[in-house]
Amino acid sequence: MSDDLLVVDDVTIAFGGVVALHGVSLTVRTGEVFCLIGPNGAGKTTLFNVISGLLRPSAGDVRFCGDSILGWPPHRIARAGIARTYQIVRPFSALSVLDNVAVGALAFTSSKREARLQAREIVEFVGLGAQASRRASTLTLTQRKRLEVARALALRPKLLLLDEVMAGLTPTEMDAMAEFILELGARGIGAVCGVEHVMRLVMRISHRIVVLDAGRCIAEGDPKSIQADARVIEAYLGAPVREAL
Amino acid sequence: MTVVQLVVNGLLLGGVFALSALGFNIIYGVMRVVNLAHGDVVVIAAMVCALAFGALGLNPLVLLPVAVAGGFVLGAAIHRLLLRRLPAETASTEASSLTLTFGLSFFLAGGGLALFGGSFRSVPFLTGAFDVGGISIPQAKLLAFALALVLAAALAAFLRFTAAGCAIRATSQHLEGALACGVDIDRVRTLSYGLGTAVAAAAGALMSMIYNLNPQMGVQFTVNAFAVVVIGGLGSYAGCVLGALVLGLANAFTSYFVGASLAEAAPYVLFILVSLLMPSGLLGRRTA
Repeated sequence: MSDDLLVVDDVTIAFGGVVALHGVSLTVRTGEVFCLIGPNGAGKTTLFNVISGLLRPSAGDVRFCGDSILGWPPHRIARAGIARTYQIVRPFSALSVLDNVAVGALAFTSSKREARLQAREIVEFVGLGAQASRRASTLTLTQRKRLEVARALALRPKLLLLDEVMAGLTPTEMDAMAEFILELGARGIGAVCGVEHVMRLVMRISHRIVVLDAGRCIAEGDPKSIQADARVIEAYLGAPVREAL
Repeated sequence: MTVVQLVVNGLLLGGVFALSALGFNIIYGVMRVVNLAHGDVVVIAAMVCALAFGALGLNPLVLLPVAVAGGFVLGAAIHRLLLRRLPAETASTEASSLTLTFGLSFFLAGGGLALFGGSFRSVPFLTGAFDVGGISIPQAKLLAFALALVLAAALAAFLRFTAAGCAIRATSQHLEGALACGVDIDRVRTLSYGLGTAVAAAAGALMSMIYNLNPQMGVQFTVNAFAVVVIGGLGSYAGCVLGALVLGLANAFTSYFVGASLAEAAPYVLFILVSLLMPSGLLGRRTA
Protein backbone atom coordinates (compact mmCIF):
# COMPACT_ATOMS: atom_id res chain seq x y z
CA MET A 1 0.00 0.00 0.00
CA SER A 2 2.83 2.36 0.81
CA ASP A 3 3.83 2.94 -2.81
CA ASP A 4 0.32 4.06 -3.78
CA LEU A 5 0.95 7.51 -5.18
CA LEU A 6 -2.54 8.51 -6.20
CA VAL A 7 -5.79 6.97 -5.13
CA VAL A 8 -9.03 8.05 -6.74
CA ASP A 9 -11.75 6.59 -4.57
CA ASP A 10 -15.30 6.25 -5.87
CA VAL A 11 -15.41 9.75 -7.40
CA THR A 12 -18.71 11.01 -8.73
CA ILE A 13 -19.29 14.41 -10.26
CA ALA A 14 -22.44 15.79 -11.81
CA PHE A 15 -23.03 18.99 -13.73
CA GLY A 16 -26.69 19.72 -13.28
CA GLY A 17 -28.36 16.51 -14.41
CA VAL A 18 -25.37 15.18 -16.35
CA VAL A 19 -23.27 12.70 -14.42
CA ALA A 20 -19.80 13.15 -15.91
CA LEU A 21 -18.07 10.65 -13.63
CA HIS A 22 -19.88 7.84 -11.91
CA GLY A 23 -18.07 6.13 -9.03
CA VAL A 24 -14.65 6.10 -10.67
CA SER A 25 -11.81 4.52 -8.70
CA LEU A 26 -8.20 3.97 -9.63
CA THR A 27 -4.79 3.67 -8.03
CA VAL A 28 -1.49 4.81 -9.52
CA ARG A 29 1.78 3.60 -8.01
CA THR A 30 5.12 5.38 -8.00
CA GLY A 31 6.88 5.29 -11.34
CA GLU A 32 3.95 3.60 -13.03
CA VAL A 33 2.50 4.58 -16.40
CA PHE A 34 -1.24 4.50 -16.12
CA CYS A 35 -3.36 5.02 -19.19
CA LEU A 36 -6.87 6.30 -19.13
CA ILE A 37 -8.54 5.39 -22.35
CA GLY A 38 -12.00 6.02 -23.60
CA PRO A 39 -13.88 7.64 -26.43
CA ASN A 40 -14.41 11.38 -26.65
CA GLY A 41 -16.68 12.55 -23.83
CA ALA A 42 -15.92 9.57 -21.60
CA GLY A 43 -14.81 11.82 -18.74
CA LYS A 44 -11.01 11.69 -18.99
CA THR A 45 -10.51 15.44 -18.89
CA THR A 46 -13.10 15.77 -16.12
CA LEU A 47 -11.13 13.25 -14.06
CA PHE A 48 -7.91 15.20 -14.66
CA ASN A 49 -9.67 18.36 -13.57
CA VAL A 50 -10.85 16.66 -10.38
CA ILE A 51 -7.36 15.36 -9.56
CA SER A 52 -5.70 18.73 -10.20
CA GLY A 53 -8.28 20.57 -8.08
CA LEU A 54 -10.07 22.55 -10.78
CA LEU A 55 -13.29 20.66 -10.10
CA ARG A 56 -14.64 19.38 -6.82
CA PRO A 57 -16.38 16.02 -6.98
CA SER A 58 -19.91 15.59 -5.68
CA ALA A 59 -18.81 12.44 -3.85
CA GLY A 60 -15.72 10.35 -3.32
CA ASP A 61 -12.15 11.11 -2.32
CA VAL A 62 -8.79 11.76 -3.96
CA ARG A 63 -5.65 10.89 -1.99
CA PHE A 64 -2.09 11.75 -2.95
CA CYS A 65 0.82 10.23 -1.01
CA GLY A 66 -1.70 9.19 1.61
CA ASP A 67 -3.30 12.62 2.17
CA SER A 68 -6.74 13.59 0.98
CA ILE A 69 -6.28 16.50 -1.42
CA LEU A 70 -9.98 17.15 -1.79
CA GLY A 71 -10.67 20.88 -1.52
CA TRP A 72 -7.02 21.89 -1.84
CA PRO A 73 -6.55 24.91 -4.13
CA PRO A 74 -5.01 23.96 -7.51
CA HIS A 75 -1.66 25.65 -6.82
CA ARG A 76 -1.20 23.64 -3.61
CA ILE A 77 -1.89 20.39 -5.44
CA ALA A 78 0.57 21.43 -8.15
CA ARG A 79 3.25 22.21 -5.60
CA ALA A 80 2.60 18.97 -3.74
CA GLY A 81 3.75 17.15 -6.86
CA ILE A 82 0.88 16.68 -9.31
CA ALA A 83 1.65 18.48 -12.54
CA ARG A 84 -0.57 18.42 -15.58
CA THR A 85 -0.83 19.34 -19.20
CA TYR A 86 -3.97 20.47 -20.94
CA GLN A 87 -5.66 18.83 -23.88
CA ILE A 88 -5.72 22.16 -25.68
CA VAL A 89 -2.10 23.29 -25.40
CA ARG A 90 -1.84 26.97 -24.70
CA PRO A 91 1.45 28.52 -23.66
CA PHE A 92 1.84 31.89 -21.94
CA SER A 93 1.98 33.30 -25.43
CA ALA A 94 3.74 36.61 -24.74
CA LEU A 95 6.42 35.06 -22.53
CA SER A 96 9.60 33.48 -23.88
CA VAL A 97 9.82 29.69 -23.99
CA LEU A 98 12.30 29.83 -21.11
CA ASP A 99 10.04 32.02 -18.98
CA ASN A 100 7.07 29.75 -19.66
CA VAL A 101 8.97 26.99 -17.92
CA ALA A 102 10.39 29.34 -15.28
CA VAL A 103 6.84 30.05 -14.06
CA GLY A 104 6.65 26.44 -12.89
CA ALA A 105 10.12 26.54 -11.35
CA LEU A 106 9.09 29.61 -9.34
CA ALA A 107 7.05 27.29 -7.15
CA PHE A 108 10.32 26.36 -5.43
CA THR A 109 12.43 29.49 -5.62
CA SER A 110 11.66 33.16 -5.37
CA SER A 111 14.66 34.04 -7.53
CA LYS A 112 13.92 34.61 -11.18
CA ARG A 113 17.55 33.86 -12.04
CA GLU A 114 17.48 30.51 -10.25
CA ALA A 115 14.11 29.67 -11.84
CA ARG A 116 15.55 30.42 -15.27
CA LEU A 117 18.57 28.21 -14.62
CA GLN A 118 16.31 25.30 -13.71
CA ALA A 119 14.07 26.08 -16.67
CA ARG A 120 17.05 26.05 -19.03
CA GLU A 121 17.87 22.47 -18.07
CA ILE A 122 14.31 21.28 -18.65
CA VAL A 123 13.97 23.17 -21.92
CA GLU A 124 17.11 21.40 -23.18
CA PHE A 125 15.77 18.08 -21.93
CA VAL A 126 12.55 18.35 -23.97
CA GLY A 127 14.54 19.48 -27.01
CA LEU A 128 13.52 23.13 -27.17
CA GLY A 129 16.97 24.54 -26.37
CA ALA A 130 17.24 26.32 -29.70
CA GLN A 131 13.90 28.06 -29.19
CA ALA A 132 14.48 29.06 -25.54
CA SER A 133 14.47 32.81 -26.05
CA ARG A 134 11.66 32.91 -28.60
CA ARG A 135 8.15 34.01 -27.78
CA ALA A 136 6.03 30.96 -27.07
CA SER A 137 3.42 32.11 -29.58
CA THR A 138 5.88 31.37 -32.41
CA LEU A 139 6.12 27.64 -31.66
CA THR A 140 4.58 24.91 -33.79
CA LEU A 141 1.95 22.58 -32.31
CA THR A 142 4.48 19.84 -31.59
CA GLN A 143 6.82 22.30 -29.95
CA ARG A 144 3.95 23.67 -27.89
CA LYS A 145 3.14 20.17 -26.71
CA ARG A 146 6.73 19.76 -25.57
CA LEU A 147 6.64 23.15 -23.90
CA GLU A 148 3.49 22.11 -22.05
CA VAL A 149 5.32 19.05 -20.75
CA ALA A 150 8.40 21.12 -19.88
CA ARG A 151 6.25 23.52 -17.89
CA ALA A 152 4.80 20.59 -15.97
CA LEU A 153 8.25 19.06 -15.33
CA ALA A 154 9.47 22.34 -13.84
CA LEU A 155 7.26 21.59 -10.85
CA ARG A 156 9.41 18.49 -10.16
CA PRO A 157 6.28 16.36 -10.07
CA LYS A 158 5.88 12.93 -8.57
CA LEU A 159 2.91 12.45 -10.83
CA LEU A 160 2.32 13.86 -14.28
CA LEU A 161 -1.18 14.06 -15.75
CA LEU A 162 -0.97 14.13 -19.53
CA ASP A 163 -4.30 14.97 -21.15
CA GLU A 164 -4.58 13.69 -24.73
CA VAL A 165 -0.81 13.47 -25.12
CA MET A 166 -0.97 11.86 -28.52
CA ALA A 167 -3.57 14.13 -30.10
CA GLY A 168 -2.33 16.00 -33.14
CA LEU A 169 1.03 14.23 -33.34
CA THR A 170 2.41 12.41 -36.38
CA PRO A 171 3.23 8.70 -35.93
CA THR A 172 6.94 9.47 -35.52
CA GLU A 173 6.23 12.12 -32.91
CA MET A 174 3.94 9.69 -31.10
CA ASP A 175 6.77 7.20 -30.85
CA ALA A 176 9.05 9.90 -29.46
CA MET A 177 6.37 10.85 -26.93
CA ALA A 178 6.00 7.21 -25.91
CA GLU A 179 9.76 6.94 -25.30
CA PHE A 180 9.58 10.12 -23.28
CA ILE A 181 6.75 8.78 -21.11
CA LEU A 182 8.66 5.57 -20.46
CA GLU A 183 11.66 7.64 -19.44
CA LEU A 184 9.53 9.41 -16.83
CA GLY A 185 8.94 6.08 -15.13
CA ALA A 186 12.70 5.50 -15.03
CA ARG A 187 13.05 8.84 -13.25
CA GLY A 188 10.50 7.78 -10.65
CA ILE A 189 7.71 9.97 -11.96
CA GLY A 190 4.30 8.37 -12.20
CA ALA A 191 2.26 9.28 -15.23
CA VAL A 192 -1.43 9.22 -15.98
CA CYS A 193 -2.04 9.55 -19.70
CA GLY A 194 -5.37 10.30 -21.25
CA VAL A 195 -5.54 8.79 -24.69
CA GLU A 196 -8.47 8.55 -27.03
CA HIS A 197 -7.16 5.93 -29.43
CA VAL A 198 -3.66 4.94 -30.62
CA MET A 199 -4.03 1.58 -28.91
CA ARG A 200 -0.73 0.34 -30.28
CA LEU A 201 1.18 2.83 -28.09
CA VAL A 202 -1.10 2.52 -25.10
CA MET A 203 -0.47 -1.21 -25.01
CA ARG A 204 3.26 -0.65 -25.24
CA ILE A 205 3.74 2.00 -22.54
CA SER A 206 1.09 1.17 -19.96
CA HIS A 207 1.58 -0.77 -16.80
CA ARG A 208 -2.11 -0.55 -16.18
CA ILE A 209 -5.13 0.74 -18.02
CA VAL A 210 -8.55 1.97 -17.06
CA VAL A 211 -11.22 2.21 -19.70
CA LEU A 212 -13.79 4.94 -19.21
CA ASP A 213 -17.04 5.05 -21.07
CA ALA A 214 -19.77 7.62 -20.44
CA GLY A 215 -18.29 8.44 -17.02
CA ARG A 216 -17.98 4.87 -15.78
CA CYS A 217 -14.98 2.58 -15.39
CA ILE A 218 -15.86 -0.29 -17.65
CA ALA A 219 -12.59 -2.18 -17.31
CA GLU A 220 -9.31 -2.07 -15.46
CA GLY A 221 -6.23 -4.17 -15.82
CA ASP A 222 -2.92 -4.74 -17.58
CA PRO A 223 -2.69 -4.27 -21.35
CA LYS A 224 -3.26 -7.95 -22.12
CA SER A 225 -6.47 -8.33 -20.18
CA ILE A 226 -7.84 -5.04 -21.56
CA GLN A 227 -7.28 -6.16 -25.12
CA ALA A 228 -9.29 -9.27 -24.47
CA ASP A 229 -12.13 -7.53 -22.63
CA ALA A 230 -15.42 -7.81 -24.44
CA ARG A 231 -16.86 -4.61 -22.93
CA VAL A 232 -13.89 -2.62 -24.19
CA ILE A 233 -14.28 -3.97 -27.65
CA GLU A 234 -17.94 -3.07 -27.52
CA ALA A 235 -17.30 0.49 -26.32
CA TYR A 236 -14.78 1.05 -29.06
CA LEU A 237 -16.21 -0.87 -31.94
CA GLY A 238 -19.89 -1.00 -31.08
CA ALA A 239 -21.96 -4.09 -30.30
CA PRO A 240 -20.92 -7.18 -32.19
CA VAL A 241 -22.81 -7.73 -35.40
CA ARG A 242 -24.96 -10.75 -34.83
CA GLU A 243 -26.64 -11.03 -38.17
CA ALA A 244 -24.83 -11.39 -41.39
CA LEU A 245 -25.72 -8.75 -43.89
CA MET B 1 3.34 77.32 -33.65
CA THR B 2 -0.01 76.81 -31.97
CA VAL B 3 -0.11 73.25 -33.23
CA VAL B 4 3.33 72.46 -31.81
CA GLN B 5 2.26 73.95 -28.51
CA LEU B 6 -0.87 71.80 -28.51
CA VAL B 7 1.15 68.68 -29.32
CA VAL B 8 3.47 69.42 -26.41
CA ASN B 9 0.50 70.00 -24.08
CA GLY B 10 -1.19 66.84 -25.29
CA LEU B 11 1.85 64.62 -24.89
CA LEU B 12 2.65 65.94 -21.42
CA LEU B 13 -0.91 65.23 -20.33
CA GLY B 14 -0.89 61.85 -22.07
CA GLY B 15 2.06 60.69 -20.00
CA VAL B 16 0.10 60.99 -16.78
CA PHE B 17 -2.98 59.40 -18.38
CA ALA B 18 -0.73 56.50 -19.38
CA LEU B 19 0.35 55.87 -15.81
CA SER B 20 -3.21 55.83 -14.53
CA ALA B 21 -4.32 53.54 -17.36
CA LEU B 22 -1.45 51.10 -16.73
CA GLY B 23 -2.87 50.48 -13.28
CA PHE B 24 -6.32 49.92 -14.73
CA ASN B 25 -4.86 47.56 -17.32
CA ILE B 26 -2.97 45.38 -14.87
CA ILE B 27 -6.09 44.89 -12.75
CA TYR B 28 -8.20 44.03 -15.77
CA GLY B 29 -5.51 41.77 -17.22
CA VAL B 30 -5.03 39.63 -14.13
CA MET B 31 -8.50 39.70 -12.58
CA ARG B 32 -10.84 40.54 -15.47
CA VAL B 33 -12.21 43.20 -13.14
CA VAL B 34 -13.24 46.52 -14.68
CA ASN B 35 -12.21 48.65 -11.75
CA LEU B 36 -14.80 51.42 -11.59
CA ALA B 37 -13.21 52.80 -8.40
CA HIS B 38 -9.96 53.53 -10.21
CA GLY B 39 -10.54 57.25 -10.81
CA ASP B 40 -11.74 57.77 -7.26
CA VAL B 41 -8.41 56.51 -5.96
CA VAL B 42 -6.68 58.96 -8.32
CA VAL B 43 -8.71 61.85 -6.97
CA ILE B 44 -8.47 60.87 -3.29
CA ALA B 45 -4.68 60.63 -3.63
CA ALA B 46 -4.65 64.06 -5.26
CA MET B 47 -6.70 65.47 -2.36
CA VAL B 48 -4.39 64.00 0.26
CA CYS B 49 -1.35 65.36 -1.58
CA ALA B 50 -2.90 68.82 -1.91
CA LEU B 51 -3.68 68.91 1.81
CA ALA B 52 -0.25 67.58 2.82
CA PHE B 53 1.41 70.14 0.55
CA GLY B 54 -0.71 72.98 1.96
CA ALA B 55 -0.52 72.03 5.62
CA LEU B 56 2.94 70.50 5.94
CA GLY B 57 4.66 71.95 2.89
CA LEU B 58 5.68 68.46 1.77
CA ASN B 59 7.35 68.34 -1.62
CA PRO B 60 5.47 66.26 -4.26
CA LEU B 61 8.66 64.26 -4.76
CA VAL B 62 8.28 63.13 -1.15
CA LEU B 63 4.55 62.64 -1.50
CA LEU B 64 4.86 60.39 -4.54
CA PRO B 65 6.44 57.38 -2.80
CA VAL B 66 3.99 57.84 0.08
CA ALA B 67 1.13 57.73 -2.43
CA VAL B 68 2.54 54.57 -4.00
CA ALA B 69 2.89 52.83 -0.64
CA GLY B 70 -0.49 54.02 0.62
CA GLY B 71 -2.19 53.04 -2.62
CA PHE B 72 -0.68 49.58 -2.48
CA VAL B 73 -1.86 48.97 1.07
CA LEU B 74 -5.34 50.29 0.24
CA GLY B 75 -5.60 48.14 -2.89
CA ALA B 76 -4.33 44.99 -1.22
CA ALA B 77 -6.79 45.54 1.65
CA ILE B 78 -9.70 46.06 -0.77
CA HIS B 79 -8.84 42.80 -2.48
CA ARG B 80 -8.40 40.79 0.71
CA LEU B 81 -11.53 42.17 2.40
CA LEU B 82 -13.93 42.61 -0.51
CA LEU B 83 -13.07 41.40 -3.99
CA ARG B 84 -11.78 37.95 -3.09
CA ARG B 85 -14.98 37.19 -1.21
CA LEU B 86 -16.91 37.22 -4.46
CA PRO B 87 -17.82 33.73 -5.66
CA ALA B 88 -14.89 32.59 -7.78
CA GLU B 89 -14.86 31.39 -11.39
CA THR B 90 -18.56 31.55 -12.07
CA ALA B 91 -20.16 33.22 -15.04
CA SER B 92 -21.41 36.05 -12.84
CA THR B 93 -17.99 36.95 -11.39
CA GLU B 94 -17.40 39.77 -13.86
CA ALA B 95 -20.85 41.22 -13.25
CA SER B 96 -20.58 41.03 -9.47
CA SER B 97 -17.10 42.56 -9.44
CA LEU B 98 -18.47 45.39 -11.58
CA THR B 99 -21.22 46.02 -9.05
CA LEU B 100 -18.71 45.88 -6.21
CA THR B 101 -16.28 48.39 -7.71
CA PHE B 102 -19.23 50.61 -8.67
CA GLY B 103 -20.28 50.67 -5.01
CA LEU B 104 -16.69 51.22 -3.95
CA SER B 105 -16.51 54.20 -6.29
CA PHE B 106 -19.53 55.80 -4.58
CA PHE B 107 -18.08 55.02 -1.18
CA LEU B 108 -14.73 56.64 -2.00
CA ALA B 109 -16.29 59.65 -3.70
CA GLY B 110 -18.72 60.18 -0.79
CA GLY B 111 -16.02 59.57 1.80
CA GLY B 112 -13.74 62.02 -0.01
CA LEU B 113 -16.47 64.65 0.00
CA ALA B 114 -17.10 64.16 3.72
CA LEU B 115 -13.39 64.32 4.56
CA PHE B 116 -12.11 66.96 2.18
CA GLY B 117 -15.19 68.98 1.23
CA GLY B 118 -16.22 69.85 -2.29
CA SER B 119 -13.74 72.61 -3.04
CA PHE B 120 -11.14 72.33 -5.77
CA ARG B 121 -7.57 71.73 -4.66
CA SER B 122 -4.19 71.37 -6.29
CA VAL B 123 -0.49 71.36 -5.48
CA PRO B 124 0.98 74.70 -6.63
CA PHE B 125 4.51 73.37 -7.14
CA LEU B 126 6.93 74.63 -9.80
CA THR B 127 4.43 77.04 -11.27
CA GLY B 128 6.86 78.53 -13.76
CA ALA B 129 7.35 77.54 -17.39
CA PHE B 130 10.30 76.96 -19.72
CA ASP B 131 10.26 78.84 -22.98
CA VAL B 132 11.72 76.76 -25.81
CA GLY B 133 11.66 78.73 -29.05
CA GLY B 134 8.29 80.26 -28.31
CA ILE B 135 6.80 77.03 -27.00
CA SER B 136 5.82 77.22 -23.37
CA ILE B 137 6.52 74.12 -21.31
CA PRO B 138 5.06 74.35 -17.81
CA GLN B 139 7.59 72.99 -15.33
CA ALA B 140 5.02 71.13 -13.24
CA LYS B 141 3.62 69.33 -16.30
CA LEU B 142 7.10 68.41 -17.47
CA LEU B 143 8.00 67.04 -14.03
CA ALA B 144 4.73 65.09 -13.81
CA PHE B 145 5.32 63.68 -17.28
CA ALA B 146 8.89 62.63 -16.44
CA LEU B 147 7.88 61.03 -13.15
CA ALA B 148 5.01 59.20 -14.85
CA LEU B 149 7.44 57.75 -17.39
CA VAL B 150 9.88 56.74 -14.65
CA LEU B 151 7.10 54.95 -12.74
CA ALA B 152 5.74 53.30 -15.88
CA ALA B 153 9.26 52.06 -16.72
CA ALA B 154 9.68 50.78 -13.15
CA LEU B 155 6.38 48.92 -13.44
CA ALA B 156 7.41 47.41 -16.77
CA ALA B 157 10.75 46.33 -15.30
CA PHE B 158 8.98 44.80 -12.31
CA LEU B 159 6.68 42.80 -14.57
CA ARG B 160 9.51 41.69 -16.84
CA PHE B 161 12.37 40.91 -14.50
CA THR B 162 10.99 39.77 -11.15
CA ALA B 163 9.51 36.47 -10.11
CA ALA B 164 6.27 38.11 -8.99
CA GLY B 165 6.05 39.99 -12.28
CA CYS B 166 6.46 36.74 -14.16
CA ALA B 167 3.59 35.21 -12.18
CA ILE B 168 1.40 38.25 -12.89
CA ARG B 169 2.05 38.08 -16.63
CA ALA B 170 1.52 34.33 -16.73
CA THR B 171 -1.78 34.65 -14.87
CA SER B 172 -3.10 37.35 -17.18
CA GLN B 173 -2.12 35.36 -20.28
CA HIS B 174 -3.49 31.97 -19.28
CA LEU B 175 -5.22 31.45 -15.95
CA GLU B 176 -5.49 27.65 -16.06
CA GLY B 177 -1.88 27.40 -17.15
CA ALA B 178 -0.77 29.46 -14.18
CA LEU B 179 -2.83 27.24 -11.86
CA ALA B 180 -1.15 24.16 -13.31
CA CYS B 181 2.24 25.79 -12.70
CA GLY B 182 1.55 26.10 -9.01
CA VAL B 183 0.99 29.85 -9.09
CA ASP B 184 -0.98 31.01 -6.05
CA ILE B 185 -3.63 32.95 -7.97
CA ASP B 186 -5.12 34.50 -4.87
CA ARG B 187 -1.80 36.11 -3.92
CA VAL B 188 -1.18 37.23 -7.49
CA ARG B 189 -4.56 38.94 -7.50
CA THR B 190 -3.93 40.72 -4.21
CA LEU B 191 -0.58 41.87 -5.53
CA SER B 192 -2.08 43.02 -8.84
CA TYR B 193 -4.94 44.94 -7.27
CA GLY B 194 -2.47 46.49 -4.84
CA LEU B 195 -0.12 47.44 -7.69
CA GLY B 196 -2.93 48.82 -9.84
CA THR B 197 -4.20 50.93 -6.96
CA ALA B 198 -0.68 52.10 -6.11
CA VAL B 199 -0.24 53.26 -9.68
CA ALA B 200 -3.61 55.06 -9.56
CA ALA B 201 -2.56 56.84 -6.37
CA ALA B 202 0.75 57.82 -7.95
CA ALA B 203 -1.12 59.20 -10.96
CA GLY B 204 -3.28 61.17 -8.53
CA ALA B 205 -0.22 62.65 -6.84
CA LEU B 206 1.01 63.78 -10.27
CA MET B 207 -2.44 65.00 -11.41
CA SER B 208 -2.61 67.26 -8.36
CA MET B 209 0.32 69.21 -9.83
CA ILE B 210 -1.51 69.75 -13.11
CA TYR B 211 -5.20 70.00 -12.33
CA ASN B 212 -7.55 71.59 -9.85
CA LEU B 213 -9.49 68.62 -8.54
CA ASN B 214 -12.33 67.88 -6.18
CA PRO B 215 -13.46 64.51 -4.74
CA GLN B 216 -16.37 64.22 -7.17
CA MET B 217 -14.22 64.03 -10.28
CA GLY B 218 -13.21 60.39 -10.00
CA VAL B 219 -15.60 59.16 -12.69
CA GLN B 220 -13.82 61.27 -15.26
CA PHE B 221 -10.50 59.58 -14.53
CA THR B 222 -12.08 56.14 -14.53
CA VAL B 223 -13.53 56.84 -17.97
CA ASN B 224 -10.15 58.18 -19.08
CA ALA B 225 -8.31 55.07 -17.97
CA PHE B 226 -10.94 52.75 -19.42
CA ALA B 227 -10.93 54.62 -22.73
CA VAL B 228 -7.13 54.54 -22.91
CA VAL B 229 -7.06 50.79 -22.30
CA VAL B 230 -9.73 50.16 -24.95
CA ILE B 231 -8.06 52.50 -27.44
CA GLY B 232 -4.68 50.86 -26.92
CA GLY B 233 -6.00 47.30 -26.87
CA LEU B 234 -7.02 45.42 -23.73
CA GLY B 235 -4.05 43.80 -22.06
CA SER B 236 -1.40 45.54 -24.16
CA TYR B 237 0.99 47.68 -22.11
CA ALA B 238 2.56 49.39 -25.11
CA GLY B 239 -0.95 50.04 -26.45
CA CYS B 240 -1.82 51.60 -23.12
CA VAL B 241 0.94 54.19 -23.45
CA LEU B 242 0.09 54.86 -27.08
CA GLY B 243 -3.62 55.17 -26.31
CA ALA B 244 -2.89 57.61 -23.49
CA LEU B 245 -0.80 59.82 -25.74
CA VAL B 246 -3.56 59.78 -28.36
CA LEU B 247 -6.11 60.74 -25.71
CA GLY B 248 -3.84 63.47 -24.36
CA LEU B 249 -3.50 64.95 -27.85
CA ALA B 250 -7.24 64.69 -28.49
CA ASN B 251 -7.85 66.43 -25.19
CA ALA B 252 -5.44 69.30 -25.96
CA PHE B 253 -6.76 69.86 -29.48
CA THR B 254 -10.42 69.70 -28.46
CA SER B 255 -9.82 72.17 -25.62
CA TYR B 256 -8.24 74.63 -27.99
CA PHE B 257 -10.38 74.32 -31.10
CA VAL B 258 -13.76 73.35 -29.65
CA GLY B 259 -13.72 74.40 -26.04
CA ALA B 260 -12.54 73.12 -22.67
CA SER B 261 -15.97 71.93 -21.65
CA LEU B 262 -16.08 69.54 -24.61
CA ALA B 263 -12.59 68.16 -23.98
CA GLU B 264 -14.16 65.85 -21.43
CA ALA B 265 -16.09 64.25 -24.27
CA ALA B 266 -12.87 63.35 -26.10
CA PRO B 267 -12.43 59.96 -24.41
CA TYR B 268 -16.01 58.97 -25.20
CA VAL B 269 -15.67 59.93 -28.86
CA LEU B 270 -12.36 58.08 -29.23
CA PHE B 271 -13.79 55.12 -27.36
CA ILE B 272 -16.70 54.85 -29.78
CA LEU B 273 -14.54 55.39 -32.87
CA VAL B 274 -11.98 52.77 -31.89
CA SER B 275 -14.69 50.30 -30.85
CA LEU B 276 -16.33 50.70 -34.26
CA LEU B 277 -13.27 50.77 -36.49
CA MET B 278 -10.63 48.73 -34.63
CA PRO B 279 -12.47 46.58 -32.09
CA SER B 280 -9.26 45.06 -30.71
CA GLY B 281 -7.60 48.44 -30.18
CA LEU B 282 -4.57 50.04 -31.78
CA LEU B 283 -2.12 47.40 -30.55
CA GLY B 284 -4.50 44.70 -29.32
CA ARG B 285 -4.25 41.11 -30.40
CA ARG B 286 -6.72 40.33 -33.15
CA THR B 287 -8.04 37.23 -31.46
CA ALA B 288 -8.80 39.00 -28.19
